[in-house]
Amino acid sequence: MKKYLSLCFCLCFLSLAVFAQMNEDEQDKDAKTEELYVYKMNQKGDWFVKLGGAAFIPLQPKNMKLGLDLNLGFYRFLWSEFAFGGDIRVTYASTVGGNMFFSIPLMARGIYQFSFKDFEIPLSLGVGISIQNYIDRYYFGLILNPEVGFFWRFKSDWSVGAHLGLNIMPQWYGNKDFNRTGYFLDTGLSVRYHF
Amino acid sequence: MKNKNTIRAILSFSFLLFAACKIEPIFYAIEKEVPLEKAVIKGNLYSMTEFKDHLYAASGSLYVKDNTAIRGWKAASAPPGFIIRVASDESNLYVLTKDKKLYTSKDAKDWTAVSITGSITELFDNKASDTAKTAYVTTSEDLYSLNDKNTSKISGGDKSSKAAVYDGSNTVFSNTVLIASGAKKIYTIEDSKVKFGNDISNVEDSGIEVSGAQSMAVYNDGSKESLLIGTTSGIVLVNLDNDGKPTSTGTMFGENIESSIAMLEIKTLYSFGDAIYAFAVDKTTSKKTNTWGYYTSRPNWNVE
Repeated sequence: MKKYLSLCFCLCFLSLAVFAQMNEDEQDKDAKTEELYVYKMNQKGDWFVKLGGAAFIPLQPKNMKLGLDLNLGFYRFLWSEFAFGGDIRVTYASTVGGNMFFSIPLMARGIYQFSFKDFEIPLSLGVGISIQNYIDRYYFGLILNPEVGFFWRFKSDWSVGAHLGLNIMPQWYGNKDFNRTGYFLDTGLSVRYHF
Repeated sequence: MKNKNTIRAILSFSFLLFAACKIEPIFYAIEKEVPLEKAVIKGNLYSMTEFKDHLYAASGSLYVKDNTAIRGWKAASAPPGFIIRVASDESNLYVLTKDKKLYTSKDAKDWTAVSITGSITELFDNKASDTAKTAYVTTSEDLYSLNDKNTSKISGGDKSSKAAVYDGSNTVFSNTVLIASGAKKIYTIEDSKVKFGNDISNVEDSGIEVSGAQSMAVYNDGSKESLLIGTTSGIVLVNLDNDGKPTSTGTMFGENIESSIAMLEIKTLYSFGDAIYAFAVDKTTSKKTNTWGYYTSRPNWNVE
């Protein structure tokens, strides 16, 4: 009788253990299913295109006036917070001597983006080349462009916002006396379409 | 393989683009710019002359300023008509209008018409700085010197003369405006070659070639003379040695020359005292088409 009671107790215990395990499996399954459907504003593989216009504010060299900057970029999320892509810009500014300075920067850009509710804060760094023109002169050189933005995702596939960036354009020549680095702020509005 | 070809194509294109560009300082040149003044002399500068410590400029209207002042131009009293030439001798100022009427004045206020036989084609003076200064007029008939309202036919004069300089003892006429006189020599350009000599009929080749010459002047910066040649693309400076012989081309005056008139067509070029005046035409935009001035005491170019 004692043996019989011990056997029953063991069976009950095992059954409870099995049911407990089955229940855990069910819960895990439910949890995995939920994770598959978690909503994120951006996920790996998402694309977006950005189109913007900005004021082009020369800080250095002196003698330049406020100009304009138009930009267009394509970017892809490598993971939900990081996107990589490229952009092209057309910028110009006039000078006090009645001349025009043009530049067309082509940059590869990495973007780390914070999200908060419907808002996104992209921090990015662009690196590339800039074709510059002034009177009859051209320069083909490096450009760096750190940038910060603030966007409102007002629809699932559209966001609008503002950005502030700094264009750093060094000019290096054989005669080092002519070497200068241009610093230009650009701040303006952009609209992004998320594919 | 396809990617490699694409990269090669991009690199080749970049190299070609880079090689084809005029790689000269940009930010450096922008730093040297100066804010442009508002133009007082508007339109074409046709001619200038010095008269009684003042400079006069013919530019449709007649403008005047103190000959030592930096800028300071103002409209002068002028006879009716579109003024295209101004010239002077020691006591009289002359202007020629587009409708070929010649006027003279002793004070640049009261003007009297000068009558002359034939149709007037040109008015100029010999740029002498003393009593030898004389104004001349060419007509369809002859070349005349002017003295107030009187005209004297120049014996053997060429009615196609367009300019004159004074070499210290004689007036030398030229059929082009490409003639200038320094302290030691006379300069001209023939077939793009800079020529010089003591006498215009006996000039020698300096070995310096300047293409597209439009105008000419000799400038003294206080230490030495330089020959300035206005061309279809800026001003070419020719260094002169102590004997006035052209030796080489040099760097044009003015820290902002590259960003102002270096690429423009210099139709008219004058030098008075420590200043240079150039009428520059920008064929791409009218923004820079102006009379520009450079002063030793203000070593940059700006709009007059």
